[in-house]
Amino acid sequence: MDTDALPLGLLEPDDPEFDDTEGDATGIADQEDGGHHPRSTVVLIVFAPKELEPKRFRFRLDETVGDAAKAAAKKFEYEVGTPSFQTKDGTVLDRSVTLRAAGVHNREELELVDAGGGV
Amino acid sequence: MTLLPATMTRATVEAELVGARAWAARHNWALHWLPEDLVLRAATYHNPVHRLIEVMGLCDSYRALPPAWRFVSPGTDQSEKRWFPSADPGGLIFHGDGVICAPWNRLAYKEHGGPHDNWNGPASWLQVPADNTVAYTIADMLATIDSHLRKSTGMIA
Repeated sequence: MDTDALPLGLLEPDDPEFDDTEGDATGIADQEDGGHHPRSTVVLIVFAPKELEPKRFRFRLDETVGDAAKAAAKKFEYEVGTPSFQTKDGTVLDRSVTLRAAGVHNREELELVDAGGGV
Repeated sequence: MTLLPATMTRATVEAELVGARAWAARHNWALHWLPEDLVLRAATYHNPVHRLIEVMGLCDSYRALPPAWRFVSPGTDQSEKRWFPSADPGGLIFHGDGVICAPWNRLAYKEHGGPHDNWNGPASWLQVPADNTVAYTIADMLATIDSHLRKSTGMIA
């Protein structure tokens, strides 16, 4: 499957990668799409603290963490703040780097978190 | 100062707890809601000091006012500096005087013993400029405490 042709942003249930589990265990889909082309996009499963269910998003890997988190936050109706993603080990990703540089992998589960500083 | 009836506050908090409990399960926190007291207790393990840590939120009049969050000795109401996590130099919300300093904590406001007299009082907490830490639900407040706690290297005393 050429994932480059698929729409970016919030995944709809009929999206071919909505329930795809190809990349979960093997990591193959981290680097390649189903046609063995290098991936230029990644599907992220994003949780928000206030919501029960996650949402799935497709982002370009050269998009910054900050831009991707802001787009995801908006879909969860967070209108303000400084959103970032927190990995399962608790690391809050640097908003200024790309998703590729941050090392996210396909179908990684991330939590939206506000990265605003103290006051 | 009570601005809202307890029944209204209780319903508001309990509606938010659905998401908060799911968040807590994902992040190894234990939540304990005391509906009669309008108190939420949230505990987790603070790895750098190998110690259970507990934050207590008094939610009376929530959301007219933010909760009053403070770290306590686990299982008690005692608040001492040795139960308060330390901050990194990078501007965390944990202040050396033992206050969680954020617009979503009632105790950060001057009227309640905190340092801030520049946020127009706790009743204006939802209008504080969003150029620092932002959290408008209990789950988001706990998530913010959690993310800052993970950067904390110890306790302040």
